[in-house]
Amino acid sequence: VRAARREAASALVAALAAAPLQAQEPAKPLEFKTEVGAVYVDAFVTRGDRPLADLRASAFELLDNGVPQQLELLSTESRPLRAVLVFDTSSSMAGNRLLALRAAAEAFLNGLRPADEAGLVAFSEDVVWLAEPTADKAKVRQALARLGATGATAVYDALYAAITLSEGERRALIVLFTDGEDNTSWLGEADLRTVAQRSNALVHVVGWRPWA
Amino acid sequence: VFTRDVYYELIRSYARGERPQAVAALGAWSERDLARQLASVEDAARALERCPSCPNSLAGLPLKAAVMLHWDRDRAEQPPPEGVEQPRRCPGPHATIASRFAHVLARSVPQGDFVRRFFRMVVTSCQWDACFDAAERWAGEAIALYPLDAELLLARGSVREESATLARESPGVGVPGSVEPSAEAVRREGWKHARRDLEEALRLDPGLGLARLRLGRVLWRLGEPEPARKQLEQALPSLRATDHVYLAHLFLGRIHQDAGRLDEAIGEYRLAVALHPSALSAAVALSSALGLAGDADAGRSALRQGLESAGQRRARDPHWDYQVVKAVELESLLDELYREALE
Repeated sequence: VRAARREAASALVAALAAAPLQAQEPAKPLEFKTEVGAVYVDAFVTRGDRPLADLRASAFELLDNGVPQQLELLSTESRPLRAVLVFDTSSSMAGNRLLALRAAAEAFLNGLRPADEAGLVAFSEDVVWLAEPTADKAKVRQALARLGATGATAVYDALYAAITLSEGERRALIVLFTDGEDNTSWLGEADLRTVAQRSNALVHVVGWRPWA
Repeated sequence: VFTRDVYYELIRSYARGERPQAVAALGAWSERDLARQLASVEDAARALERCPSCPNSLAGLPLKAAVMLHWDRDRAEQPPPEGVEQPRRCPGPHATIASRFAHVLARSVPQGDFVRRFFRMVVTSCQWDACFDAAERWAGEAIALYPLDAELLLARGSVREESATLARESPGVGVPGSVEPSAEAVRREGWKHARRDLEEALRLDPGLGLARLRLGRVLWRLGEPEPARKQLEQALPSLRATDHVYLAHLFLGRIHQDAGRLDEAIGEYRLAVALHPSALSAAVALSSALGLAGDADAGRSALRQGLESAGQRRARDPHWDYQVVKAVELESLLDELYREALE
């Protein structure tokens, strides 16, 4: 639960950087120009194990190859979130684990604001999009309440689906609730890292620990 | 009363079809009583080997039923636990007795390939239950009996491929003074063993398409994409099951993708999707390759189509079955063995 709350309190920092490509040689027949208008840079600021909130842009310094960049701070308060809960329903989740992680997911939903959207993806070896992102969190709660536990664990495929299908106008926050390791995905860890790096989505994990 | 006559009658009642009663009654026998009966059966089998013309004291004892009775008892004593993803129901003492009966059967009576199939069933069952050490041990025992059985070598190769693929980092790795190998080293070693089994299976039976399919995948895992590709392309014409053809296209696609040949990869993945439109693995593979090729919209569309079938799939995804061996195969093997044991 602590982990889930920390994500909601995190800040999003956008660095505005214009980086046009170098001028092309005139002899070349094809020219493409592109520029990067803005880059999201995520910062999680903590003191000890507690998040620091209410930071201003002046509290940050961002260097690109040693050159300071113009910063604009986009706090979570200023933009509605699109959160996608990716929930492990494999056999090993049966019993207390399912209950504990469902409680964590409920707590996460309770921390969202009315304008924030939430969706739910459940997975075992199969991946099921149970609730499309919606501001009506009751729908997600109902879907959460119906989750059972059976089958193997395809974490990477489920995260891939959540990241790929949640891309849109709003930046997505993907929160994985799981107790274990992947054992049936088609994609591997490296594949997923590539997809996550190319995406603007933020991915966090809420795990189950017996001693917590 | 735990006498030989009672024991033999128990086995005969199982063969007559009174399976649940016989399995339950066997539970009353102590290890000591069973050991005595088993030793007497093994002595009789040895005596018969020495003197084939002597009276056969095992005549009338349905040995196949004895094998299956003890296997059933073994399973009955280990009900599948709930809330465990990989339950590890490794064979217990009754499975060992079943194995000893199988050895007697292999030596003393014309029995077709019942014993081979029994061992293959146990290996498959162990693999299904993620009991890899036992699976390898049982496969080794069976291969010692039948060194020219390509199916048994394929079964062991499959166990070794899966157990290596699932190897995880041990906590001791990296600790000063520790000699534990890294997970990567364990994986490579396991895949090398799997490769040897699969190559030997193909040497014995070059038409064994599933062995070639697995060999292709194992070579890819070992970082040998071109030999892997050759095996998979060679396997395709010999593969009869749609699931295996699907897997060959999926695995070939991955080899192309890794080599940067995204068009070829997408082509292979599309062939896989066409064979199993509801299988998630091909949908994810195609979607991911389309994304890498820069067509994010088509990637999303392919993924959506795959997810639309979720929860309504009539058949399991062949890729899931490939990784954990096909449970359906285990059931059909068991059905065959029961039919023969009850004849």
